[in-house]
Amino acid sequence: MKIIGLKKNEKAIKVALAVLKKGGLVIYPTETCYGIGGDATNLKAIRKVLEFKGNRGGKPISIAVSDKKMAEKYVVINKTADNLYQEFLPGPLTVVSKSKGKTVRILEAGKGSLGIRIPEYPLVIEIIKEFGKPITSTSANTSGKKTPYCLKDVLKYTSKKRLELINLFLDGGRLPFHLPSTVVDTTLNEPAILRRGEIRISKTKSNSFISNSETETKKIARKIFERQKGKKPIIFALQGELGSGKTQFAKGLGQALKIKDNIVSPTFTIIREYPFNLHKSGMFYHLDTWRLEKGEELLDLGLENMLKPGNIIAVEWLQKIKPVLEKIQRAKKAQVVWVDIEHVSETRRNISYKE
Amino acid sequence: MKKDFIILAIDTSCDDTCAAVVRDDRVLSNVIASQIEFHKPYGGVYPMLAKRKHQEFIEPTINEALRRAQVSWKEIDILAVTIGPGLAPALEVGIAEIKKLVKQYKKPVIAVNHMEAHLLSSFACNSQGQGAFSKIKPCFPILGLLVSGGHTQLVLMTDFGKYQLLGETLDDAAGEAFDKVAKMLDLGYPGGPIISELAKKGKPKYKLPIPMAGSKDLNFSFSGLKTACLYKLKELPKPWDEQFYCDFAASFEKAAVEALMIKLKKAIMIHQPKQIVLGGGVINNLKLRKEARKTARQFNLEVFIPYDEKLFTDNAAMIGVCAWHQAQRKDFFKKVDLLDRKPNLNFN
Repeated sequence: MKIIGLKKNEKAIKVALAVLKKGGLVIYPTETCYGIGGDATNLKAIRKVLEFKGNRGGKPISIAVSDKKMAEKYVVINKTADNLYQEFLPGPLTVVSKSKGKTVRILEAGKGSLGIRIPEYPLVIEIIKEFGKPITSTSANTSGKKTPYCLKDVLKYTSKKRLELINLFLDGGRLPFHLPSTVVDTTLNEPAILRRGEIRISKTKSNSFISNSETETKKIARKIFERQKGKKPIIFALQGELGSGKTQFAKGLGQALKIKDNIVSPTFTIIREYPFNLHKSGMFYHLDTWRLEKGEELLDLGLENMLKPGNIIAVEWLQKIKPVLEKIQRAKKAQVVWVDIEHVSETRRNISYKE
Repeated sequence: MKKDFIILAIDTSCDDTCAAVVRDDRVLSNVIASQIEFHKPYGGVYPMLAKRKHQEFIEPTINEALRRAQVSWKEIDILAVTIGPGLAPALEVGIAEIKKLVKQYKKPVIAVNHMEAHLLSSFACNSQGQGAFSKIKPCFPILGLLVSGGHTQLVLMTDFGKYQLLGETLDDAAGEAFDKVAKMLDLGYPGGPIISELAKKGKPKYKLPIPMAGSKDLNFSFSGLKTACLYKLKELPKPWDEQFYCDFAASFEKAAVEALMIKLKKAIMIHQPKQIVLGGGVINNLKLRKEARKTARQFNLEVFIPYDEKLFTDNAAMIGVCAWHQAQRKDFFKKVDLLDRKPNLNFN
């Protein structure tokens, strides 16, 4: 078993690809524990994985893909699954869907379903992407033994004979302890939780999120944006104290719209505009009423003209302009998404929205 | 090259309606509507914002600029106008006015970048030809630090008309951070100058993070400092006495100025400029100027600032001076009908 530290990423990728192509096995780090990977379309490789795992009573084995596009080649992604992909992947969630039968059959559960995971570990995603095929995603321990979080765990609890099956260990050091991924079966009418990990799936879609960083606030903004449908212009009415991250939220909208320009605070100029080209071209207006005496001044500054189909508007410092926006909403001139950003602590925010 | 270009310049990029007359780089008049009292019907309360205000004030402001410069329409050689960056509906007012004036007086037009004008504001001279650069010639490359309510930029200038944006703010401008921290302290708006005033009597005894101190590039960020101030203030028990306000203002000012200086220093080391210019409303802050000089001195560089404080904040004289430099490189805007506002205009 060869061991490569992850400081030499390029080398790690090269060696891992060579091993996978030959039908060998790689132990790799993920955001949960160390996993064992073999070519999911190569029967010889899968047999070795099963031999390593030992007797597990015919339980299926999930596979890891690089993105949703790759997943679609191997399973049928229905609406329920699609929502979960959007909301949680990459991340510690295994989504079970109907298999298209393009992977080794013994990976599937009895009724032809297959678990898919996208690990939130960029190096692993890159390896799978380069490899162009899914690899197995099961913890790198013999059934019934300790879940491994470092090389020592693997060496200590695995028999010598089994260790010989492994060609490469990608050493990401000691991983922080996290529960194994949550497993959700989406082939039924209602999503069914098969194993509970750190991700909690509620039956109804949540309109409330916790953000622990500026990056997460942007991600949440993208998520809320992607949930919007319809042809009307959309106004994101952002409510939140000074320093709560309203501009960060707007930056997230900018990312969702694939705007390359840096989105900065509009406090001084009141209005900033950014053309974008997502499916169609449109204009993203970023407004701020902080310096205005009356919100109505935004009307004087052309708010109504901005309400064209496809345009996206984000308004900071909502209080002054709320009645105007409510009127626009009642007149159905735009779809208004009311976003509330609350301070929980210096770095933590609660972001909720209603339409 | 013709000498004695007389240029009428207007700027309506944001809050203020501004007009000025320059002869070459010499400022003959520099009128800012909010700072003068017009006779009725323009008197009374000066409205805070809105497009209508610009529409109402633009003509009397231009007339006042001409009157103070003692030049007539016939003597004007060039019309100059800010096309961006700024608030789109406000910029439109200035552009519409220029189009009207071109029809009436048939003068060539120069379209000016408001931030280039801030950068060149140190090259302005008074009507006698005295200015920051009247005794010392510009020596390129020149590094510019522009700090205002809406912008925080580092720009390298290899000649007039040749600029490279080295870094800028990723979120709030420095001036905005001053105003927002002032708001947290209930000091009113615009609070930046009040903070600077209080800071003079305070000691920077509260520890605040220096934003982007460790970042490798030349960009700035002030939103984190703003949030840090908010949480620091929540920790500190009220009632706050006068000394507290002064100390907190000094602490904030120190962190903000230090953030600017770290990147100024980094830019000097990387780009080895021969001179430094400052521009924008926040250079009213004495601590900023003092620290910039101190930083420059470490590299044996001199710092230049505009000869008059009126050239720090938004004004049209700098637009005129910038236009004069553009005229020398024949940067005229030929098809005036196509003149349009560029609210996101930047260097490069």
